[in-house]
Amino acid sequence: MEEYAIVVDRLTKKFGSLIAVNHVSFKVRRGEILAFLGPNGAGKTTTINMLITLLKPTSGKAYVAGYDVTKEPEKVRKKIGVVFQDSTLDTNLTAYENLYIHAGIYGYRGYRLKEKIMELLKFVELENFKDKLVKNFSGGMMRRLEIARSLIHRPEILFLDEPTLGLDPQTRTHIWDYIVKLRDRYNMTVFLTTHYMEEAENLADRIVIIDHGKIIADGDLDKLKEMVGKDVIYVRFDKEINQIEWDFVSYCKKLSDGRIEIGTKDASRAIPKIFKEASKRGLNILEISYYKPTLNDVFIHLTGREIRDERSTNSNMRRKR
Amino acid sequence: MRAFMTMIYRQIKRFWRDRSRVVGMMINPLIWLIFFGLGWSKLFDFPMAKKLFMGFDYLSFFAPGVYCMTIFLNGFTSGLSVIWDKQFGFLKETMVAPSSRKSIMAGRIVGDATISLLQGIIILVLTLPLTDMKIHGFFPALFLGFLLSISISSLGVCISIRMNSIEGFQLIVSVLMLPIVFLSGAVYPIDAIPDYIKVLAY
Repeated sequence: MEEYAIVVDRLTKKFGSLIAVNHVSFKVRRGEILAFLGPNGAGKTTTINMLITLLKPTSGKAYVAGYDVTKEPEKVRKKIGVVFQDSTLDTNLTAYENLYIHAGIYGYRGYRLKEKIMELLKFVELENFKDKLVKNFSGGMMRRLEIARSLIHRPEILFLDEPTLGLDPQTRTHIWDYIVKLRDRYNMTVFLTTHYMEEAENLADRIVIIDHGKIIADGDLDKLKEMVGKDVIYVRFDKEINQIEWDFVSYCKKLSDGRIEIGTKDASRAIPKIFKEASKRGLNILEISYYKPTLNDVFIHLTGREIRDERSTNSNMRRKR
Repeated sequence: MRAFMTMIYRQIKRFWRDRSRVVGMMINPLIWLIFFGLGWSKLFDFPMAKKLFMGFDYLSFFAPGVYCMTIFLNGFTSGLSVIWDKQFGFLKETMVAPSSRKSIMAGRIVGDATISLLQGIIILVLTLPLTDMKIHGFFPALFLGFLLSISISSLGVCISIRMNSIEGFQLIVSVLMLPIVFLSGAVYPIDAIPDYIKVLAY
């Protein structure tokens, strides 16, 4: 039990006849960053809401920090920090007051509290804005403040529901830095949902892909990518060659434009070898490029469609709102 | 307990931040008092009038009514803030906190009740020199005002928990409000209305 921060066993949630989450099982190790990846409407938020004790599962079990979410929700709540998809800040209050009130609701008080709040504000680089009203904050600042707020009670597990939704790329990498820092500094377990491939790729130790309420893949990035297949290298030599038989090449194919397609397990290691072999044989390389399968390829491979299609329509809807 | 106190703090702080609310909430009862109260009190300025209003001149009769009305009107904003928090997510934030949800709700209610009571007191103090109310009646009035503010705030919260839009809530409140104000006997003695409506008042 102790090894895992979250254990989910055949968790199911039905809304009427709609099955939002369908027999979902997975485990999250302590100190791990897990990305729960899937298109909108896949059941990510429903799952998170069950784990943070806001929704009662229809069936199945979930243990968070060792406690059953349906039997001991209070104990679970003590151990977790949550950053919701939509901002839950009090915009008419200042940054400091937001954190102060949060701490109060969690039962904290005393002279050390002020120190702690300042420390957290410093962590998210908002200490200069502590007395500014939140309604004047930018989207990125609000997110950072929310992350700070979710940390006040020193949670063991942090839940982030779409932490970088609607933020510009720069701000997003900034937020990723904080999340990684958190894990490194406090050995925090982070459970985040996202529909951004890059986010899952850059941030997560492990990725769970969910679609239509079902988990369709679970593993680290390399393992997921292996599902789609191999890295591909495209080379053009100055001379015509017909066949390559090097030990690291799993297949090779001559393309109509004269390039050669080489399938291999790991492109970044194979490229230097190709250079070596080429110079041995007196071949000059005119052009070389490689392609690594992305998470998007994994998703297409698994579901037959792109995750992005739904994202674009959805972000439009969000903007309208 | 800590969560309870914090919620009181939050509600009051939020209110205080919102100066337009501070001012706006005071204006409504003052309008009633000045335009309605002063006007009628001139009209009822004849020897028999005191008898109509249980031995008081009209303004003295009406002022405690305005006191209650202030508390009453403002008490409902407590419900409004629940819907507000629902829409802006703060409610969810309190739901994942380990503190008991009852104490959080109670803190909210007491916080809002305190605000409306304070406003009532301001009105009461303002009207004191205009009427022949007695100082020693202040504390009983305070006590009754407290009970009223708590119950109205709670009622507001109860209604708002089932509602999702601010507009819908305001509609319900306005439908409820006028009959309650008129039937409360704040504007005229209840004895003056026909018996079949009197049933509603009780």
